[in-house]
This record gives sequence, C-alpha cells and structure tokens, in this order.
Amino acid sequence: MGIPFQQPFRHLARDVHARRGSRAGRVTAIDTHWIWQDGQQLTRNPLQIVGGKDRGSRPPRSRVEIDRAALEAAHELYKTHGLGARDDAVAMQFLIPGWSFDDKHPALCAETFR
Amino acid sequence: MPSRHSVISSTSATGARPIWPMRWRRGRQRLVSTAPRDRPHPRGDRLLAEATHDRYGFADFKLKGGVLRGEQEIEAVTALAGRFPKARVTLDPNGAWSLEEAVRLCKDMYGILAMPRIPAAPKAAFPVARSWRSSAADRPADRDQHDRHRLASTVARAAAWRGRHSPRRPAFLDHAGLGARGTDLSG
Repeated sequence: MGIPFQQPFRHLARDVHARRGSRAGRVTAIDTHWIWQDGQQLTRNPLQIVGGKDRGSRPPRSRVEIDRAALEAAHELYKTHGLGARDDAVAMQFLIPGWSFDDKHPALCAETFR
Repeated sequence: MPSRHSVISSTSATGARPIWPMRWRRGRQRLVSTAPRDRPHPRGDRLLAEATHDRYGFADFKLKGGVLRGEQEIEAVTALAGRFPKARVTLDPNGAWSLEEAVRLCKDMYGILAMPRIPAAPKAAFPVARSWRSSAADRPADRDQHDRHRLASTVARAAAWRGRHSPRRPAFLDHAGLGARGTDLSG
C-alpha cells in the first residue's frame, strides 16, 4: 500500500523507539524527520511530546495501533495525486528560471544564479 | 521556513505570489516584509522556533541551511541563540560550504553554535588508497578549526585504547565535516 513517506528510513517514532531501547544514559537530541502535520498521524497512539520529550506515550511491549481509516485516506491521497515521485526543481524554477540542484553551493544564494 | 510576515511579490506573468521565508531578492522578484524591520535578521526561523518551543517544549534547534549565504545563516542562528539562551543551536548547511568558508564562518561561534553539522562537502569521492596523514596543503585551513581542540582529549583516549595501529584520522572529525582529510591528533 502506498503511503506518502518522504523519508521512509528516518522517522521520529522509529528513532524514539531505538533510543529508548538503548542503554545510553543522557544522550544528545534526536535529529530526525517528522513528515506529518499535527493531527495527521496514522496511528491511534501517536507520540506525545511534552517539555521537549516523549512522555512514554508508547510504553514497553505496547503495540503501534494503526488507524485503518486514516491509512486508507492517506492511500487515497497518494493514488489521487500520483505522489510516487516528486521533482523539487520545478518549484524552485518558479522562483529562479533554470534553477538546478548543486550540492556544493547554497540553493538560494543570489551570487550563484546571476 | 514560512513566516507569516514575509512574502515574495512576484511580477511574473502568472501573477502568482509564492510565500517565501527569508529576506532575499533577485531580479524582478522583490521581498515585501509586512513586519516592522527593527532587526536585520530573518525572523521566520525565530517564529518557527518559538512555535515549536511553545507547543512541544523543544529547546534544541537545528537550522537546516544551505539556502542563503553562509553569513546570513550564521546571523540567523546567532539570533536564535540570543532568543533562546539555554537552547542548543546547530546549523546544517548540507555541505554547501567549502572547508575554508566553514572555518571562517564558524571559528567565532564559540558558545553560540553547538556544532555545525556537515558544513563542507568532501572535495572528491572518498579516497580509498590515501595516506591517513594530512598533507601540508590541508594544514592552513585546519589550524583554525575548534572541533579538534574540543575533541582532543576524546581522541587521545580513543587512540590509546585502539593502539598504535589505529588510523590517525578520528572519525568524529570526519563526521563534523571539519578536518575530514586528516588531522594528526593522536601522534
């Protein structure tokens, strides 16, 4: 089933679970991706972040409860709009004609595109 | 990062008006800020940081950069650190800077920027058969960087633990993006 994941391998929920299972004590902040808007989650027990931390919203041995209706709606959205691939350059070319990606220079640096 | 205060007014034929975050102008496109211009820095980042701080209690901010000029992004994280003095602030320009630029931009950021994440991209593909020792050409730029001072004790312990056969090129410096071509810390 197609779910519009942009970053399938880096996700906040996964990183929180991994960090919780680790034996490291005080660790640095989790730096990862959260692709949903608030209230857009696909599970019934989404992470609850209070005071900058996950407040045990998924205790050990609890399951991720998938919200089937939300999942179905997301899949419909995926099918309707053909979200299998995207081309960010199109949006950038709206701002700068002929824009192309260059990983060695800032993307919107005026000197780069004079 | 979208700001409710700034848009770009486009005079293109379509007449569409994209929302755009930062103070930036080029050609026919002109940035119009409806916010009072009492500060010289982009305030979209600050508004977003305040929003996430209020809603989630976050006190650790990473500016995903590589968009504007390096000086402007340094200015933005400085403003962010000024707004949240206790927060940990990092900047990730996605490797958009050169090594020299990264050193120049970050060397005065003690106490403000916790870490630049991937400031400079590797110059070429990872050299497989290359000596771990840094060449003379690497040294002038490396000399200024602060990460090796911060990590020096860690590196010394790691080198002692791993023995004399360890490559003299600590992985964390590579991860920080600075000194990726080798700095002799263990020897």
